[in-house]
Amino acid sequence: MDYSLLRRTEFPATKLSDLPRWNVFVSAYNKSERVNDVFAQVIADKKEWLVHPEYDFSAADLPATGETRVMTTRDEAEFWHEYFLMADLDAWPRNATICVDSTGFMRPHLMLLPLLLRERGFTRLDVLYADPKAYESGEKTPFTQGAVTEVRQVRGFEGTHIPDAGDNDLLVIGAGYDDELIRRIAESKRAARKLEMFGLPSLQPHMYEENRLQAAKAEEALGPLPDRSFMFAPANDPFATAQELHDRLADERARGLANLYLSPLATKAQTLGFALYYLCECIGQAASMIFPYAEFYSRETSVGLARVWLYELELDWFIQ
Amino acid sequence: MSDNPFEVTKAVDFTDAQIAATWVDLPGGGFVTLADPKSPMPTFLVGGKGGGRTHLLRYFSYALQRLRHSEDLLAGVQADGYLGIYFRCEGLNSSRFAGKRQEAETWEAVFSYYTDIWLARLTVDLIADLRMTVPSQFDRDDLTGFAAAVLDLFDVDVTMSQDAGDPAHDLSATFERLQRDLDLAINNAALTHELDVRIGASPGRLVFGVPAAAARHLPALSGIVFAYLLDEFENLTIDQQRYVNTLLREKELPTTFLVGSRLFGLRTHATLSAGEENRQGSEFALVVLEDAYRAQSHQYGSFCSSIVLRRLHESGCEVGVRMRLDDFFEGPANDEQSLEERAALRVAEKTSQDPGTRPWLERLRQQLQASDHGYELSDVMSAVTFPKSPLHEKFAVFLLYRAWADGEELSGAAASVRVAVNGLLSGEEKSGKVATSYKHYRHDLYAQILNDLRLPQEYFGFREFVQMSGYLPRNLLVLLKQVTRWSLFLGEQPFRGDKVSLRAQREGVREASAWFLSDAKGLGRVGEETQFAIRRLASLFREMRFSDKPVEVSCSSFSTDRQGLSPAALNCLNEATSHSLILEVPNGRRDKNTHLLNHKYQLNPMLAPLFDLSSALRGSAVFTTADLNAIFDPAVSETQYEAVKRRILDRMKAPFFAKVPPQDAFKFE
Repeated sequence: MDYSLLRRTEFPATKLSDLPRWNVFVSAYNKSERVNDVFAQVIADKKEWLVHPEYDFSAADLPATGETRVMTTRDEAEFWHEYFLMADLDAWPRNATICVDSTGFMRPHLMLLPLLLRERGFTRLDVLYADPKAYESGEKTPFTQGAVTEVRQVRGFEGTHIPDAGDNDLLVIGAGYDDELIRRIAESKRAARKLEMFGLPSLQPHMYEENRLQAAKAEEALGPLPDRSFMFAPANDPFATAQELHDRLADERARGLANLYLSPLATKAQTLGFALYYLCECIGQAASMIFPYAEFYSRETSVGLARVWLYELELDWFIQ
Repeated sequence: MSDNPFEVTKAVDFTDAQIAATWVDLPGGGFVTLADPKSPMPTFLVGGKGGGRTHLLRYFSYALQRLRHSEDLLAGVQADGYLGIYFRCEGLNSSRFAGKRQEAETWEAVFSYYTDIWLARLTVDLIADLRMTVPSQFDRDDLTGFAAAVLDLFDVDVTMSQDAGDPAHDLSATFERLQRDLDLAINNAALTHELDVRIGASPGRLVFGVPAAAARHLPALSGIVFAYLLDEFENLTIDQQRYVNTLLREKELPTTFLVGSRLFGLRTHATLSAGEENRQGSEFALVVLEDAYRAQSHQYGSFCSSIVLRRLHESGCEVGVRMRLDDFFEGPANDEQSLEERAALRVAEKTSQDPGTRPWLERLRQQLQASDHGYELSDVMSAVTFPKSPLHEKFAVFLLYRAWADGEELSGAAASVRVAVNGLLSGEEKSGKVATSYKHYRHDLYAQILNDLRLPQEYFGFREFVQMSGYLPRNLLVLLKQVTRWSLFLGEQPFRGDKVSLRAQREGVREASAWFLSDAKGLGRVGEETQFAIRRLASLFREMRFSDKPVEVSCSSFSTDRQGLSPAALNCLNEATSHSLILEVPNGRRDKNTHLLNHKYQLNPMLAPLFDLSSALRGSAVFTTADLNAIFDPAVSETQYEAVKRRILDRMKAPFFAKVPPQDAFKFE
């Protein structure tokens, strides 16, 4: 599998007018400058804000521009079923050009979308990701608000597992800034050997160090991590992320791997990379995507907009 | 091998071989007296995180039996009398069995069937492995009969896989296929909203039928108990636990169950058997590991020593059987040094620039001046000053505060205090009331001296670490891990020649303490609220300890009859207890007035270093219902809480305005 064949294009913040035009553009609303700037500058026949209940917006907080759909369900599968019904997806031409800005979406929802669109006959999805200039409070930026309420498999990414594989289970964590999420996910698969993937290069040079410092706080839950337990892929490159997973996990499979668990907790670009890898190589296997679901998420975590990335997903290429 | 023998603190991070190598049995009759895998009575093994459940259940597992009996596996298993079928409930990924636009009853049925297939598959896999290891002991015709009997347990036709050409392995492949088909149907339901599952066997039939068929058809396994060792039971929802409870209730020989769970994880004892509830002693036994350790606390100490010595031995450190673990850790400069000498030393070090300045005297002076006792200042101050023994001086000040709080005339009281403390210093007063009081409070007064001098509190020595572990061996290992890390960081060679320095011990315990607080946090909003309440409680204990007139010695516990506590406060208290942030002291405490037996709760001693508390269980605070509601009810605002706290502490701080506890400040519905 060669994920480098998939196309990724960079657009500086000052050149967003160069972005292609789409039939439909969907973004998840929050207060971040990078999310709102992109929404304002994208040109599409139809532009829609989806409002996750996890952001806990009141009616007065909703955006003034663009069509806004306030979603009522937190379950990722039901979220998209609800939206598809609202937007009358069945009536869309299958060659419609669709773009989602991944920046504000909840991670499980983002992962599931390509699979659902593919199942409904769409063959192409463009995904944007906006790099911030910095996070609001550095490594102390609270991304989740409130408690983690549940750790579970992501809908559509539930595998067929082997009972009591013991030492041969593996959990790959895309380690972000939120040490509580890392701790929860590690605790949920206590017996599994753990690998951590870090974004390197990070979105901004200082962020890698912040990331490592935060992740280290979950060390007791992670257990001993030998040197080979760390993986690296660019924080804004889903295809390099998927490639790194492919290469490393091929080694792990060769050494004997029973159950595989994946949990992307860092950038949305990394999340997309994990999803692509799973959809290409793990469907129907003893592999699941797992995620720590929190009650609420911060509406504003970043400062500024550095650049925007466009990832072009050929859905029929990676979901057979 | 890592330089740190305590790097691994969880049984799940050990391989089977390491579990075997680090196994330490409980002194006395051993763990088997608590949980016997051969016992026909299903047993719940519950406790806090790190009590040793997983270690114990894995020790009983077939994988470990294989290691223990590597020379003659079958003879070993027959001698054990059981086969340990271990699995973690986490592996079921139980959250799949909900939602997806399916009825709860549908999921109940699917989960039951899936669990049956899962357990049956584990059992068949185990028999297939045994057959492969000792082929001569398993006749092919017997195995064919066994496989046929297992397939007969289904209510539908199940085609046997024919891939391996061996009945045991073909049966194993058949179960793998059945499970896979179920997985696909369950997983796809989220996307399609359809759940295409055909239940192939009545509930429990496979769970009990497979072992029974093995006993009937395979002579090598005749008379062997099949012990299902279910770990991490807390991962199942209440409905799912109800099904497992039903299996326990309907249990048929030669099957039995040992179920491991966190304290909070036992959500119900209800069953699906006409709504019947399982009863302790009748349908199941319940063992709380911490309670078992606490009941034999002297043996817990030697159990901990054995664990640590085994670890040190495994990591290549030279340890003798009679090695005193305290010898590995630095104590005060001289082991014989008394608390009084240590206090004098600390004061001398910190006040060397200005020997006359001692913060507690300065504070007393200011308090007297600020109140209406300024005219007595000179007499009082000279009476309580004992420059040669700061600890006695602190005690003199404490006695004076007591007299002040009681409304005594201060000059006279100060003179009496001087006589009393002189009696202590001269040795004339050895067993009287004053001597007893001094004996009780001297450790807290020493802690106050350290606090006044802005020195860190002292936590050192193996015995103290055992005490801090709160009857959870993993806590001890985490403490030792952090202490050893600090020791290595400071360039020491712990357990290999150097004693672990006081600084490494101090820094290590503090890190372990901070870890414990965050690690013990439960899921959901109640987990957050409980953390908040624990911080309130521990901070209050700290302020009480460092107050002018602490009313209890080393206070880190409280008792309550729980009457009048708001539902939210009760919920929070229960959450704190079930996550071991607070330990419930068995047998409680009898109320001084009503003589009724109250619940007694101790803040987990692992938290002591984080809040500068004593790790010992000594004094117990008297809190009113309103006090406890203010601490534990998340609806109580910070302002309301501060008012309650001030009222509690005013009784302990000069000039002692609040002598009588007022009526409940807040009323709760």
